[in-house]
Amino acid sequence: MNITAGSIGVLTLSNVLANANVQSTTAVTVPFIQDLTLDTTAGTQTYNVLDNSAAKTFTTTNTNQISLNMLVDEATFFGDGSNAERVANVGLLGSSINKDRVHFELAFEGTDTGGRSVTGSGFISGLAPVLNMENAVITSPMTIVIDGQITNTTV
Amino acid sequence: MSKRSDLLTQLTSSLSGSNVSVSSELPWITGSEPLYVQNMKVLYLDEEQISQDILFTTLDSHEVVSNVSTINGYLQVDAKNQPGDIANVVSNVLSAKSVISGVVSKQSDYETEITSDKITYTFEYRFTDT
Repeated sequence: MNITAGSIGVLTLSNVLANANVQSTTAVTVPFIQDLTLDTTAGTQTYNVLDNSAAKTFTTTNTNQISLNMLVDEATFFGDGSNAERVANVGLLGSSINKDRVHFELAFEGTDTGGRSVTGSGFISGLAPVLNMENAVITSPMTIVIDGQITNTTV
Repeated sequence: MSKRSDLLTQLTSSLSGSNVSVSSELPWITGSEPLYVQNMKVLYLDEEQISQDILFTTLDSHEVVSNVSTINGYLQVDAKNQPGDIANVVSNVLSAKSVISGVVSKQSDYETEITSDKITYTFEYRFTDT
């Protein structure tokens, strides 16, 4: 999958499940993402049996999260205070403070129909804006702690 | 106004009454020598040079660019008998960088070179903005 084509790793957020898709005109698209990781770590259970010298393992429940680093966009981070879409209204910071559930779609191949994507819902965490004279722009990590299972789908 | 213009205005003010004057001309070449060699005790500022560095790129093809502006200044005086206020002149030339606004970083330094009985002060201003 080629990331040099631009518009890769599009992440849109909404408080309304029906709006949480990358083609929505009302959902919030997180801009200026520098890097993004979708973590789907599975728990494991290991046990020993008498007829095998090696331990046996099976996976248990997954712990899923999206973590990213971004340049802080004022409107997206702090909210515009007037939008009907709550994530846009209170911003990423407000959603984290209020512990609002956000529905998301993470598209791996841009916003064109048929592109690979992952959907789910969770809570915004891990915001840590850094103001540094070396860089002259404000950057911040962000984590979406995913509640439940994610869905492997297409746009 | 350009950074060079702002510096010229500040230098003209801060060096008034000193043994060094400020020219608004570029240090062009007359005969085989630049103007600051022909006209000693006159400070000349060269044209602004700009280089760009990419600070950040993002997945949505956005780039944050850093612009570094460099302006050189030249002053030549008699090495055998420097002006009595040369230390103040150098200090004022270096501190003129403070007049530039809207930048993240302001730096200035100088170096000297003695040729025959002349000493040439070469100043460099560097300003960084995004």
